[in-house]
Amino acid sequence: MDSFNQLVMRWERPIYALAYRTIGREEDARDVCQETFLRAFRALKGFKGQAKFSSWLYRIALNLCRDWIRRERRQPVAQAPEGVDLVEMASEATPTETIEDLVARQEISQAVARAMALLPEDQRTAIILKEYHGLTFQEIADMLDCPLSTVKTRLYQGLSVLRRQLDRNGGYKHV
Amino acid sequence: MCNKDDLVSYLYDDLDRPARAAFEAHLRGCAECREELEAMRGVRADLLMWSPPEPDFAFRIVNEPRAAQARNEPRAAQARNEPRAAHAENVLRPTVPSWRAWFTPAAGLAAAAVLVLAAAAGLARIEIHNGPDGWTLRTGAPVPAAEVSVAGFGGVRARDVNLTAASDAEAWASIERRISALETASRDTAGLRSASATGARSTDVDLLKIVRDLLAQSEKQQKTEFALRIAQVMRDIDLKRAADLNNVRVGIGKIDASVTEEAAAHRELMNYILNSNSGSTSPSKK
Repeated sequence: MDSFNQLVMRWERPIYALAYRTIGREEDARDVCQETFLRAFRALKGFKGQAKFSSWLYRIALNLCRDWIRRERRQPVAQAPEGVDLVEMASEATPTETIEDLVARQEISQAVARAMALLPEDQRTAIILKEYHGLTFQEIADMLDCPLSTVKTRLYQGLSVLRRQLDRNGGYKHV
Repeated sequence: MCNKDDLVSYLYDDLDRPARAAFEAHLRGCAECREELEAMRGVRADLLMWSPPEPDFAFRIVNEPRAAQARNEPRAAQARNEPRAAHAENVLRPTVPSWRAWFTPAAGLAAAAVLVLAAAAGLARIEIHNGPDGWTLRTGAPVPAAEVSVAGFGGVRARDVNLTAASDAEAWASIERRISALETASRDTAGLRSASATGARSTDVDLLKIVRDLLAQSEKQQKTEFALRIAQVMRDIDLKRAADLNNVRVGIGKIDASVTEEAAAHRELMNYILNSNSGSTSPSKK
């Protein structure tokens, strides 16, 4: 149990980040994160190591996110994202970062969250797994049970939509 | 027609060398792909700006006996409005416990007592075990035999050695160094050993005496500290119990007075009703 808790500590942030970016609500993302580990713990005996432990966890978390989206019957993160507090960002800022940079960063962060909310679920998931979790195309394909080329297509389409959205929102300016 | 899969693969640096070279050749001649690639790199840079808020994780997996769980969980779960699944066989629990739910003065005191005992036990490095000689309580840290190889040295057994403080450990290490130096010297210089046998024996005895003194001193200090802490805890418990009993007595006294007062009022009311009845019925009898 202690070693499992070590795994929880190792993976709770990535799983939470995945859930948060998928469903966009802090509280619900925490619930999904907690439920992911509970299910993983119960199913641990059945895990034969055929996949990476992280991939297995991601799959459980994604299924829970899908359940959440279906249950709530709404587009995830369609609301204004909770975003990150400016003061919180300031505490993580690099020494060379000015307050203008911080504000711009926060604006872009919110614009990205809004744009991601508008993506279809499959495109959003592909982008999240690739961009924020560094999975390979093959790992994403295995996780989403789709061909490799489909993953690339989803990424291409998703990034194209994001590009248009960020241009339109005016939040697309590089710091 | 441009191959968008290749563009994505190139964007994520997922092309092998020949495919990469081929795509770069394509890029040189295709302004649309160049522009698209740059734009997507910009989108990726923007994506990195989106970070989730700092989570407040406070759960770990714990095991609970089924009976206790069945008894305690449903109400607690309802009160906390937690997902049902989190209260099954293996429970995800906040690492910061909701202590207010069970914290009563008595429970708090008991918990404090246990904590102090545990802390004292930790300080004193108490070891309790049941062996052929019955229950044994020993203070001091058990030291692995590999670390203290003095088993055949004057009857000092490794497990009886106490290293409770840094100074003790240093002293012990220093003694060990001296012992091993002496042993080496006595092994290597056999001739000298016989000549100085008496001296060496006396040095060994001195060393042994120092070791025993150190052990005795350390144990004594630990025992005293432990006894003081136990006494303190017992005093606290007694004081708290006396205060609680007093509170109970005062409470019962108040209730008693209130009941007596109420009974008197009832009696008075009954008398009044009886008197009224007898007053109203007497004229008709006449």
